[in-house]
Amino acid sequence: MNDSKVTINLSVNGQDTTVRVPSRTLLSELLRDTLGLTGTHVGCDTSQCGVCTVWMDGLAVKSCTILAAQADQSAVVTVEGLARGITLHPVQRAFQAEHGLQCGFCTPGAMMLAAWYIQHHHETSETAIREALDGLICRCTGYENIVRSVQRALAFQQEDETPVAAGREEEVSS
Amino acid sequence: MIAAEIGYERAKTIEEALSLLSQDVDAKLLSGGHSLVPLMKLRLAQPSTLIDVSKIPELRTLDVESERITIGAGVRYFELLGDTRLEELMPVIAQATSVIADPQVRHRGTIGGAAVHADPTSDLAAVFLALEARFHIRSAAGRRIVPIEDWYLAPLTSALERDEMLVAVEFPRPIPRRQAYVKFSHPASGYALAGVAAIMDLTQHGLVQGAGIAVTGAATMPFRASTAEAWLQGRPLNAESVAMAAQVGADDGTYDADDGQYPAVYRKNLARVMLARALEKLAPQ
Ligand SMILES: Cc1cc2nc3c(=O)[nH]c(=O)nc-3n(C[C@H](O)[C@H](O)[C@@H](O)COP(=O)(O)OP(=O)(O)OC[C@H]3O[C@@H](n4cnc5c(N)ncnc54)[C@H](O)[C@@H]3O)c2cc1C
Ligand code: FES
Ligand code: FES
Repeated sequence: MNDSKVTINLSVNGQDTTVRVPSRTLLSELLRDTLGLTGTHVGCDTSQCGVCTVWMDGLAVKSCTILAAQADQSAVVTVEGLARGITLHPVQRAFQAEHGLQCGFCTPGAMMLAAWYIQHHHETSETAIREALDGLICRCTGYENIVRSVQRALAFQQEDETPVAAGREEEVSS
Repeated sequence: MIAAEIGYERAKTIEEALSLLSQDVDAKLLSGGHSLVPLMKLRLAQPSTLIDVSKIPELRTLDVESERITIGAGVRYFELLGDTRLEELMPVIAQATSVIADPQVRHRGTIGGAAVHADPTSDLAAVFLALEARFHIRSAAGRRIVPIEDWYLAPLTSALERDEMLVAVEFPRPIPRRQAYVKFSHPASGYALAGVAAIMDLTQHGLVQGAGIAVTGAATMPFRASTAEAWLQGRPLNAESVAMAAQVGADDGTYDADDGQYPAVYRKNLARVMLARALEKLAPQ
């Protein structure tokens, strides 16, 4: 009885977008297949691994477990939207500096979850960070370097908020 | 895994959702989608149409009064964690919610979705039982309130009729001050192998008053440990009474869910252990 397509208006990485897709389309599919933003990876497709994590209205969510239609009127940010122009996000710099990845498959999800964490939490303890990283499965790193990356990202973020941070950026992104 | 084709409607009001629901027997309400979308991908659920209720403002309200706390069905898990009034009057709900899955799931899952999905391992099920939740229901035909003792009918089946909507969950009585939720998680899935919610007051002489104790995950259905509650009434809370209450409380469940990996005898013992741990947390230091 129903039209099985739906029109969705959303903003993706700051850009307003209107798409018309089958209603069953997942947000992960919309991002990757319709919009070509393949930075968002799909690991398990069963809500377990968190590799597909993006932000929806500022909250880290698993894009394989949300219908694209549910993102109507929302602001979505993917890993492609983390950097500001050529300036890397503190989390990106930190993952580079601490080598927070091996194969890199989970990294888009890891960084989106980490970026959400440092925006909302300032707790630097390993316990708190591992608790937040519960939403991410990494088959390579054993999480050690990811935890260090989050700690470093918290430090970078704090430096960025104080005016002396200027030289730091070039040092780690070169 | 691709879900079957579906229609999708976004309801702006409760009335609109109920009217859509009454027109199509195969339609289903969609809230956070963190139970329904996975089921649709597996084609264990194949609704004709999803009626998205997540943007209805009336479902997102949180009313905290000292005699009654009413939580809109669409309130998400993470929203139960930051509220200071809730933290003061009903810390047990934050304790239970904070151990549900991970941050991403807590950003989407709702109290109403958890109640209606009626998973026998749901963490909030123990809280609903121990605190005697009342479920506020609406349909195109009218309203009704279902008390917790009539809510859980079978695994994954609540008392909600097909054309009904859960509007809010009410926690009616002044809630005893001592509250605890403890969970023994499945190592892979993170769901509760046994979760216990316990609340009570202690008189000035240290005697138990008005205990509410419930277990999720361990038995076939979440259950209230009524025998333990009755046995503790008027007794001091000490090592012996905790051990005894945990024993008789575990007996209140029916453990026929023999899944091979976790035999009934193990599950029952785990219920006993977690009952004891929850009660120990409530004992005076
Ligand atoms: C990876 C993962 C891990 C999880 N771990 C845990 C865990 O550790 N502990 C735990 O307790 N749970 C866990 N869950 C389950 C989760 O907590 C829920 O089942 C929850 O999110 C359901 O809420 P929802 O809003 O997403 O419901 P939805 O999926 O939107 O809906 C669930 C059901 O309720 C119906 N429904 C929803 N809202 C209403 C309404 N207002 N009126 C009538 N019917 C309605 C829907 O039609 C559907 O049948 C986990 C889920 C995932 C994906
Ligand atoms: S791909 Fe979404 S959680 Fe694994
Ligand atoms: S770096 Fe390989 S999965 Fe995480």
